[in-house]
Amino acid sequence: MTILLPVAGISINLFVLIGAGALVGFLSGLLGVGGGFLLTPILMMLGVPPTVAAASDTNAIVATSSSGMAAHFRLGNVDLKLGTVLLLGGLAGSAVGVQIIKVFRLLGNADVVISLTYVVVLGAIGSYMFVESLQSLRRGSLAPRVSTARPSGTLLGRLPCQMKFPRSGIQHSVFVPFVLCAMVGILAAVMGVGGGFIMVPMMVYLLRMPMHVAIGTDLFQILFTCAGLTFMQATTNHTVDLLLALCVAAGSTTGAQIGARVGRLFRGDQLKVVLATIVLVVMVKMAVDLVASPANLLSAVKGAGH
Amino acid sequence: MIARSARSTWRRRAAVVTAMVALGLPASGRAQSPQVTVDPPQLRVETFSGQQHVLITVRVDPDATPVVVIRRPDAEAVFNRKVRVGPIWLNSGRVHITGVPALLLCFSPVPVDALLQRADIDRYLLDARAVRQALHVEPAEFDAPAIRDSYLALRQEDESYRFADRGSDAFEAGEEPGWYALRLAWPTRAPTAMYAVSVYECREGRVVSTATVPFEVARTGLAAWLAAQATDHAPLYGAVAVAVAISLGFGIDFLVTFFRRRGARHGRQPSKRSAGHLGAH
Repeated sequence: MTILLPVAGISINLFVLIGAGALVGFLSGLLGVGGGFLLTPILMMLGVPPTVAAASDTNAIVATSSSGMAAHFRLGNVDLKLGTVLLLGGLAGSAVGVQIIKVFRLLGNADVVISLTYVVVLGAIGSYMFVESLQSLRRGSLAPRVSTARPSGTLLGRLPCQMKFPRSGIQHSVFVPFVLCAMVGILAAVMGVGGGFIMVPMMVYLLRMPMHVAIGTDLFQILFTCAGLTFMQATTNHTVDLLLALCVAAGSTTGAQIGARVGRLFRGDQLKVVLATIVLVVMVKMAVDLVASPANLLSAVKGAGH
Repeated sequence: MIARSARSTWRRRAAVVTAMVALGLPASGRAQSPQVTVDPPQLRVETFSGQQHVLITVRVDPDATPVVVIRRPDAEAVFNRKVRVGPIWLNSGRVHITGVPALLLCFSPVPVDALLQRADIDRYLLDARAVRQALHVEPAEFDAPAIRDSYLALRQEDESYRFADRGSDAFEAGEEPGWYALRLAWPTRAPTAMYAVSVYECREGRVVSTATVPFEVARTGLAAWLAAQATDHAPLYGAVAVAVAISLGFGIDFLVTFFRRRGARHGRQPSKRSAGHLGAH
């Protein structure tokens, strides 16, 4: 059964779109990653023009993250206070990152910077997360390793504007999550993908948040970021295909619900292993793409990813 | 809205006719051979139309053979160019390709190189070699045989280009000499646009006559309305897109929760691994 996509102007099998959405939604609900890294290439493979694919999957991710966030919110996994700080930091970082990439583009080195940053950052985060999670699993530790104590005595503990985040069970200077998230925002803008890959590990390892709360809170900030992006893409580029987004979202919202519930069957450390594995697989694919001779010397020009 | 749509259609038809004149083709089928008709003359694609079929009927002199070509007028295509820097392959610079159609589908009952001499194949872009020669690469320093081959490979992969290297099974000879029918499942990836359908009458290695008719593939119904909203009322469209997506997300969550609770009330106990266990991680 094919469906004509009004903005893309092409017809695609409806069930393929829903299936692609379900896969991405499942990962989103399970691990808190947005899914843009998967969805845009899948839609492009199906023949959707790159700019429409990038803009429409942003719209679909709004639906997915709403669904996933609602499920996590009911389970008590969304830290609204910390999420708001992270969102503001992420927005500030993205704005800086866009300017940085403009400078690199003028210098003609943008793609070198993007590709190498991608591989190095994903490689470092994935490897650390994978090793640490495996060690944790071997120890069989069920007890939380999250420090709820105020980090007094440390440099971070002496920073001003200390704030308690009861839902996450942590206390930090408000500048810590803001600056960390701004750095993630810069990286996300430079790398052209969303922050989910980097944001969740950063929340777990640097802010010491529980894995499930990190996932729920990440979905909260993804929802707002992608809603803003969708509106901007619709008004400036007219590339949001609502029908395409809804078809994908029909699969992805359901997938997100299943992912969130499947996530409850796993311990935080087990989820970390899954996320680390996916991060490493993406990193390895990027690295192979960098060194292997391409099948074609030309590639489609994508729109803004996330 | 209707007036604007009519003006837009008229402009597109005018553009196709201009392109035909530029190609040295007559602007419509004439009474004498060759003749070409497309059924339906305008493909109206609705949201749930599914696979559409097109019947192209051509008439040529009984001692001639037709080649049918469907073209979408030239448009600039932009790609990233990959280059090797040390051990790494990187996107470096944009390649702009012009001078060739955005869509080119060629059909003939026999291989086109068995029908025509090289000069006419090149002139009417009837095979990959002709397109490779005709395309224009900007900036000029990026122009290389590998780039031209890559462009052709991409177009053939996404089914925008199809050549009659081996003849086409879709051709059926009519009962009367010189009549042919081409039944075509319209490519679902071909975008809604104005196309030109040309028939080349081939005899003794040359194109002796041609005829071209415009063929429009247009959205209609919900698809047309949504496409118009996306451009005419972009801020409202964007806001609605966000609102609909959020509603869908929360709606699905509500439904899942509702059915889960209902299931629990009907004898199944909710999972012991509820939200409480999550704090342990």
